[in-house]
Amino acid sequence: MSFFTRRRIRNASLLVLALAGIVWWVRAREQTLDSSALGTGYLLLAAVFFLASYNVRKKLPFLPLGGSTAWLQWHIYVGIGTVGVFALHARTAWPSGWLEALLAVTFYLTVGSGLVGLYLTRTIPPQLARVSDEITYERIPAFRRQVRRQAEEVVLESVAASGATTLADFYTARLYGFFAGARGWRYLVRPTSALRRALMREMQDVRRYLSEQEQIGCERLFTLVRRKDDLDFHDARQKVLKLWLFGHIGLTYALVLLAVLHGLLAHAFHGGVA
Amino acid sequence: MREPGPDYASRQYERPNQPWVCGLASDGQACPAGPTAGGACPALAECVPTRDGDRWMCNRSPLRGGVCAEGPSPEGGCGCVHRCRPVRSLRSIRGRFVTACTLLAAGVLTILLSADWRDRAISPGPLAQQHAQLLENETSPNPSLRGRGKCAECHSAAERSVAGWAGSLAGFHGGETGQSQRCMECHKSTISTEFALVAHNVAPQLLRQITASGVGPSSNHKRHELACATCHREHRGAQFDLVAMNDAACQSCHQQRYQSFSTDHPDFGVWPYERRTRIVFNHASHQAKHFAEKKQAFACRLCHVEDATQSVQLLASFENACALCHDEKIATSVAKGLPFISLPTIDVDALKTAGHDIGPWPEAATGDFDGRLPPMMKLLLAADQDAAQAMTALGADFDFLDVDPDDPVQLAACAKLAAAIRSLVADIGERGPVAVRERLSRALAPYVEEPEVSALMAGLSVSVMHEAANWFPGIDIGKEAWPRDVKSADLPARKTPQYDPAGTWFLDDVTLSIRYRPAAHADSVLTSWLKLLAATPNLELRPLVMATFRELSSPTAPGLCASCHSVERVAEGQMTINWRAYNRTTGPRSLTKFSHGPHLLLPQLSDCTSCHAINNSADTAAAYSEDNPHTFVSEFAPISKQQCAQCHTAKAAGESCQKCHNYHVDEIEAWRLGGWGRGEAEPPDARELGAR
Repeated sequence: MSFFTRRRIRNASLLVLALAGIVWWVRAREQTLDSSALGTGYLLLAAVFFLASYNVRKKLPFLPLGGSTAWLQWHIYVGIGTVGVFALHARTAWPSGWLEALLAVTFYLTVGSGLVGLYLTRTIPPQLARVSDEITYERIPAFRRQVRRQAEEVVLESVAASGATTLADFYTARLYGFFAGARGWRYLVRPTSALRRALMREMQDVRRYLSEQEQIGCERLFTLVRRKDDLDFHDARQKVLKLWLFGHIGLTYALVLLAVLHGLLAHAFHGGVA
Repeated sequence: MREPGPDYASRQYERPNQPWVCGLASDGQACPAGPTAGGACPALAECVPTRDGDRWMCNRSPLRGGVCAEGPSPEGGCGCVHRCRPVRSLRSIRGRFVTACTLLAAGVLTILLSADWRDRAISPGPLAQQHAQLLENETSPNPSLRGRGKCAECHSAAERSVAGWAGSLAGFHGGETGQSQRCMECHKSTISTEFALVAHNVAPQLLRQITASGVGPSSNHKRHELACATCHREHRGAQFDLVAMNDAACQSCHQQRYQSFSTDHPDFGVWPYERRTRIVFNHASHQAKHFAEKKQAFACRLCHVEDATQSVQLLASFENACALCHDEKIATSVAKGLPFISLPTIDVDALKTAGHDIGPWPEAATGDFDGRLPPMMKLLLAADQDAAQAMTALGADFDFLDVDPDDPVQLAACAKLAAAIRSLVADIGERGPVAVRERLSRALAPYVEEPEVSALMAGLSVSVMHEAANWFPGIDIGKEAWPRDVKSADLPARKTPQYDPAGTWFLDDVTLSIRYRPAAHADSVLTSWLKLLAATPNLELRPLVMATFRELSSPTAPGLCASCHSVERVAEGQMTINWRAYNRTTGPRSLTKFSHGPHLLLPQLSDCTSCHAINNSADTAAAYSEDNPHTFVSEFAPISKQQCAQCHTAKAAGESCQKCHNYHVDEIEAWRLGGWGRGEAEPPDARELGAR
């Protein structure tokens, strides 16, 4: 059993135990005619503040607040636990009040974006690792420019060596745009290797019209096309990894505001005190 | 972890945490220096050219690529100066996006909290249909609440600002009205405001009396108070059942645990035969004797009929259920008429011998002492101090036949009475209802009003009294009509009772009496006299009035009223006559409830005796010999809990507490308070203890 599996089992068990304890507490409160709503509400609010503080923690790396790995683990399991506490608190999937419905939607979207992020952070890194070496996201433009320059050098060298422009014409017509920059938003949403395969097929087709010198250059272009496609894949996937946080964190602060207002209202309009 | 790519050891130094990045970075040519903290491009050169004679030489470091192809400018400037328009880093954009989202949410909430429709927006959901008008109507149905916001009808917080709401976090409410008090502004007509927040709405001492263990307080109601919202959870939709409670809620106070009705619930004890019935009725003798003699089938449904809700069994009217047999007996009992005023036979000679001159006395009423004074006449005489003393001397239940002619004390009393009787006849004959009202007010202490007097002597004509006055020689009261009762008319009028037409008054010159023959069952005059006497306070301390009441309310008294309508003691020494059978639909709400309708649908329960089995050995008549309605032996066999438990299980008819019990009660059943029915003389007075 790997370390990660053991950790997952341990944390999941702790989460289940904690939720079972909360359920027991809620039932005990209800059986004494006490309302558990205030208790579960405070628990939820505390959980939301704790989850939001993960972002603050990342901005204050110099403080001795524990490692980011531990924080992430707490963030994930406390976040999942809030779904259970929310169910105990709201008792309905869809509150009928406007403000509470807005709060519920914000909560669902925040939790949903968190789960999406969890899925992305667990699936994208292996995909990237399978494709190529580790590439820093901020350096991808520089690498892309480097590949483009190498491709242009290859084409110019082949023209100079062979005196033919067949490869250069093909580059201008089909490969220039590919090497010129990043891919479009469709590729960001659903990256595929279709374009790379199409270009390679065309390069394969054009080989028979190339001179021997040009064919050597073409071989190098094959490598550069693959390299550029890998860079695009890294760019798209790493961008997704960064963009989902926009939604998650943006929703988190809106959720904090709504939850605080809801708590204020719950206290002020609470009718359970004699 | 995979190794960094071969190009990793680049000269470029990335700064993703900085708010600005070089504008050329997207093209892969970011300058090594990067933008300033303020987002300005420093436009730095890659080297500082050196001068070699008259030539400027490139001085770029080999680490940056060595001497550049462009070379310095003629003026000695570097040829590789990076200029760009810096752009925000992804992190900075995300920060601004998050700030924008937060501000947007704050703006939406600010608009929401300051808008006219704030109440609707912050409402956590629709109200139950019983309260729906509070939010839907523009004006409150409760006049005291008009002018407040919609939420303010129930929540004081709705009248405060957000800052005020924040204050509630610290428990500061500024002495505002609690929500439960707001509830009571509308519900005070059905629930006692004094005990609205107390368990079951009854005084805590009553609760402690019911159970030796008392109420086990849980954490939030240490003062034995429960807010309305503890059980009635609002804002859960129009169809939400506000009164539904689970058994666990009951068990939060009731320390004895009930897992199952059949195994844990105590037996019913005396329920539902908590007291004798208000209408005296012997089921056993009617079934075995009276109905049999009349060759009538003894069917429960002949007398017990369902109400409109089919929940309660009501008693059929006298006309439908009893008149066939009892009308004749009642008519016979009053055939001779009920004496209102009757002259006793006075031994005038004996009185004269003893030195008492009573003046002119009717010849027909002269002889040996004989005769009884009618109860009503005794009351009217009691207003006369001399007559009252005389009646006290003779005994509250005296008869002239028992007067000893040789006893000077009794003779003196008789002489006073004779004079008082003559004055009474003359007084009533002259002033009629005014005289009656004045005399009754003196005799009974509480003021008697003119409408009451009108009911007491309804139909009695002035001519009858004038003729009666003629019995006494020498009395001339004229032929004038009775004066109007001015004093009573000036007083604030009480509710005037409505009665059926009265019977007939007649003068009997043979017995020298004025008599009243009741019209029928429930005669207005007779019932008015009985009600007046029963309502007199401290009857026990007034032997003469009590004796009068006892005589009129005897089961064998004319009209036979008390033979069916039981007499019992109530608060403040007063008595009451149960003119009507108990009507559960209008009676006070108690802890136990039962609906006959669904039970009678079952074939095995359609026969009433399957639950209400008649106990033929019970002495029903003895149960009405006392004034305490709870000292009795039921003529029905006790109902066994197991009989109910056959169907009332969790999987069948249900066994939740609310199936049979009310939470809000108007009155605790007396048998729960202990003592009653167990030989104690006096019942605990639930009213004094605060139960409604």
